[in-house]
Formats: sequence, C-alpha cells, structure tokens
Amino acid sequence: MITTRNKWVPYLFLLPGVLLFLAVGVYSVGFSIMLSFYNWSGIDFSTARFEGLANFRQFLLGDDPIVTQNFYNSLLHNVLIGAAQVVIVIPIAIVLAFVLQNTKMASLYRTVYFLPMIASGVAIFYVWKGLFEPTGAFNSLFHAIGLDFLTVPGGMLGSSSTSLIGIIITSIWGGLPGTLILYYAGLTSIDPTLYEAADVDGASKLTMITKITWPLLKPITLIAVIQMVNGAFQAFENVFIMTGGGPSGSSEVIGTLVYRTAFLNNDYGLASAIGWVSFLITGAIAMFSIRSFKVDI
Amino acid sequence: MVKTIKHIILVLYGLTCVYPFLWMIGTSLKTSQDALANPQSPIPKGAPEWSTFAEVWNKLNFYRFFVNSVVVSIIVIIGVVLIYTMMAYSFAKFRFKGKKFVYYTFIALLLVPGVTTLIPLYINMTNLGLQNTYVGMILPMINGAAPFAIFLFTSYFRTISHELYECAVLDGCGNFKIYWRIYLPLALPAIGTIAILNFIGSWNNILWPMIIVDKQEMFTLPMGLMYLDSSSFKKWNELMAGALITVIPILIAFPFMQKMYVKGMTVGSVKM
Repeated sequence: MITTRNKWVPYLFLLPGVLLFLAVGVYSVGFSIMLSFYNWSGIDFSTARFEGLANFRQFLLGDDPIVTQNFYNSLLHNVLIGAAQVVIVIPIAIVLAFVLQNTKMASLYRTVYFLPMIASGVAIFYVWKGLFEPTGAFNSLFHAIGLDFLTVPGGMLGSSSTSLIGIIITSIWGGLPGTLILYYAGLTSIDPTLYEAADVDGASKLTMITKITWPLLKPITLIAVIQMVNGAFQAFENVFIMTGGGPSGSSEVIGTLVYRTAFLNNDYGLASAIGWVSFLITGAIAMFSIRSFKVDI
Repeated sequence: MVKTIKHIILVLYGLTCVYPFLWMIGTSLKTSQDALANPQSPIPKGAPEWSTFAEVWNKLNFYRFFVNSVVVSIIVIIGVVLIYTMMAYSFAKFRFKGKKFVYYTFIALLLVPGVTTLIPLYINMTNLGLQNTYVGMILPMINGAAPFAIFLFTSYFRTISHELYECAVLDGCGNFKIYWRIYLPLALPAIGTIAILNFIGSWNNILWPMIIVDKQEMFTLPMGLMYLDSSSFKKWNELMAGALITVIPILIAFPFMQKMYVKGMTVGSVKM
C-alpha cells in the first residue's frame, strides 16, 4: 500500500465508477426515498402531493385494508420461499456433495449439475410453465405412478392452493446446484492429511465430522443461507413469468407487488414505500453478508 | 453395493437437472398440434419439425433480438471489467482519504433490491432521453454489477506481489501503465469470472429492459420470449424454439464457464 506523490491519482482511478454511481445509483436511491413520502401517479412531478407517512400507513397499518393484506401476504410468500429453500436445499446439497466427493466421474456429474445454475432464466421459467400444465409432465407423472391425489386439475400453477409450491420447486431446482458446488468445493479443499492424522490419534468418524468437516462447512452454510434468503426476497422473474403473482395473489411476492403497484396501478409513491420497507428487511438480513465482503484495504 | 446406490442417487439428480432442457428441445421440434396435444412428452411424434426455428428466427424477429442481446452483454462485460478493475486497483494499491467510505458504499449497493430503485431509475433514464437505447439498458446493469466486481478484483489485486509494482516504478512506469500493462493482464482469472457472471446476468436480465424498452426492435431475447408468449396462445413449439435460441449461447460458453464460475464463487466463501 502506498501514498502517491500526486494525491489525485487514486481518485482518478475511481472516477468512472463514481460518476456512473452518481448518475445512475445515487440519484435513483435519493429520489426513490423521497417518492415514498409522496402521492404521485407518474409523468409530471408537479402533480405529486407530499403526504408524509401516508403511504407507509396504507400498507403497514391497514389504512387501506386490501393493500395491507396484499403486502403481508407477499411478505409471507417471500419468507416461505426462503425458508423452504434453506430447509430443503441445504441438507440435500450436503448429502450430494458427500456422495459426489469420492466418485470417479465427479467432474462429469458436476458438469451436468451446473446446467440449472447457468441457464436458469426466462427461457427455463417458460419450460417450467409447460411442465406444470394441466396435462403436463407433473400431472402425468403423478398419474402414471398412481399418486393421483397429487395431481392438480388446473395445473399446479393454475390453482391458488398450489401455485406457491410450484414457484418453490423451481427455486429449489435453480438454487440447489450453486449450494452443492459450494459444499463440494469446501469438502475437496479439506487437507486429507488432517483426517489421516485424526485417524492415527484414534478419532472416530463422528469426531472427525464434528471437529474437522463441520467447522469448515459452517461458513459455507452461512453464505448459502444468506444467498438463498437474499435471493428469495429479491424474487421477481420466476414469479412474473410463471404465475404473474396469481391466481388471485396466491403466489404474489414483494417484487411483483411493487412492479404492479408502480407500473400497472401507477401508484409510484406507494410502490417506492413498499420497496424501501422490503429493503430494510433484506438489509437487516444481509448485514451479515457484508461481513463476508470484508477486504483488507 | 454402496457404489451403485451412490451412482443411482447422482444419476437421478442429474436427470432432474437435464429434464427441463430435454423437454425444451423435444417440444421445439414438435408440430403445433403435437405440442398442444401431448405436452407431457419430451419426444416429438413423427419426424422432427425443424421449420419452427426458421419461423421464429425470421418472422418473429429473433435474429434482431439476438443481436440486441449480444450487443448489450458484450458492452456490459467490457464496461464492468474496465471500470471496476480501475477502482479495485485504486483500493488495492493506494492509501487515500475516504477509501473505506467509498468501498463500503459501493458494497452496500448489493443490498438494495432491484425493484426498489426501478421507478426513479426509469424516470431518470427517461429524462436523459435514454428510453429505447442500448445506453439506457446498459448503464444501470454495469452499475448493478459494481459490488461483487469491486470485491473480487480488489481481493485479487491484493494477492499480486507488491514488489512487482515497485520494480515497475523503478523502471519508470506511471500508474496507469502499471495498471494497464501489469495488473490487468495478471487479473485474467478474476476477469474471466466476472465476465461470465455478468454475461449470464445481462443475458437473462428482464426486469430492467422490460421497463426501459418498449420498441420491438430494441427487445432482447428474453423479451422476445415474453412477446412470443403473449402473442400466440400456448404455441409451445414456437415458445420452446425461442427458448432454445435464448439458452444456446449460454450452453456454448458453458464448458469453460464452469471452472471460472466455481473459482469466482468460492474466492469469497471457502477461504474465509
């Protein structure tokens, strides 16, 4: 680390990034905070009315019962998506990573497992939509193996009692590979001589797992959980493409709620307010993640 | 025995990973009647129908969407790499006032959900006259990539020996030359990771383009898919042909993506 003779040099290197940030980031963040205290239907800002905390009261405290219900409903769905991912993905990922660890064709399997992670996007969400059709793969599979009670007549995404399950299934499919790869990389990075030494000292398999393997997997688990929870709170594209939040709000998440409030109902102030409350919630969770971005600078 | 069970588990999971892609390919080769009548099967009845691709590519303007997607992704990648390696160089090499503040301000960006700033961003970009332009699509995407790129490049530059820097200074190199000729080439692995992450990210990005672009000729591939979905009622074969066109570039880049991706994703976590 050095102090330059010309003290402007370090700032010169920062300039392009900072300029972009000022033009795109800061303005938007500032204006968005301001908007959340206004009532505005877009186009001309001179038509905007300052309303204090009215927007927040509207969806947080029940001043508008429907909006409040929509908000807490969406929030619940975000939480459910995140919780389901954590509870289902992490155990499966750990088991698969252990199984994968000592197999001969690990790299071949790994290549295949990578597919969902890199290609997960709008194209794949349409595939899922097709698989969830009333006569699609899921219903046909359940029918074929005699689990008729699992079939949903209107298709999993078309029924308000199951649409969120459909969204969760696709999130798990898209989220599992990344977590699996993290655990796999963690497991293979453990120095094998550690186990040998422990073996010589007469440690049991269980001790090795709790004393050697788990301490290393713990930080990975923390990262994985943060990534999934963060991802769940930022969910938008999968819901938007597959269900649009429906039927009748049964799969609505904060992301689609904000989008609808702003761009379909033209209630920009309310949308900004909802967005910022969700930011505070994610921010609280993600405060942890900032620690993992600590660099010695 | 244990080995067989292991492989059964791994193969089963592999199938769930691959199946959606098989269905996509199979359905894109079906006739429209077949696609509507037998949505459960990934295998087309009779000879594969190749003409759907030509139709989607030509009639539905997918070649245009493809070009737009390529232009946007490439410029985003170049922008992200240049702008944020420069910033990272400054963070990694110099001692200066306000460094921590700038660094953590940028990292905190990571926490702001995309939808929160969508509205003012849209107003901002529209006021600048950037609606329906590449620039309007690209700038926010570059800015959005800042946190992770800065983090990764800074950590990477910190691993490069400082003696190299001192030698270059003794040889009379200025800071910009050192950055351009020494640090940038040495950071190639990190650049690869960031390039791939941003390629996938910008290629699949839909939320922002959907808002800033409403002219069909500026659509990117995912927007083209949404347009296909809305303009033809459940023509699964057309939709899947479009979907295949959308994912093929990612699948082609796939082999050398994997290694870099793992490297990049584990730099931050495993070494903690």
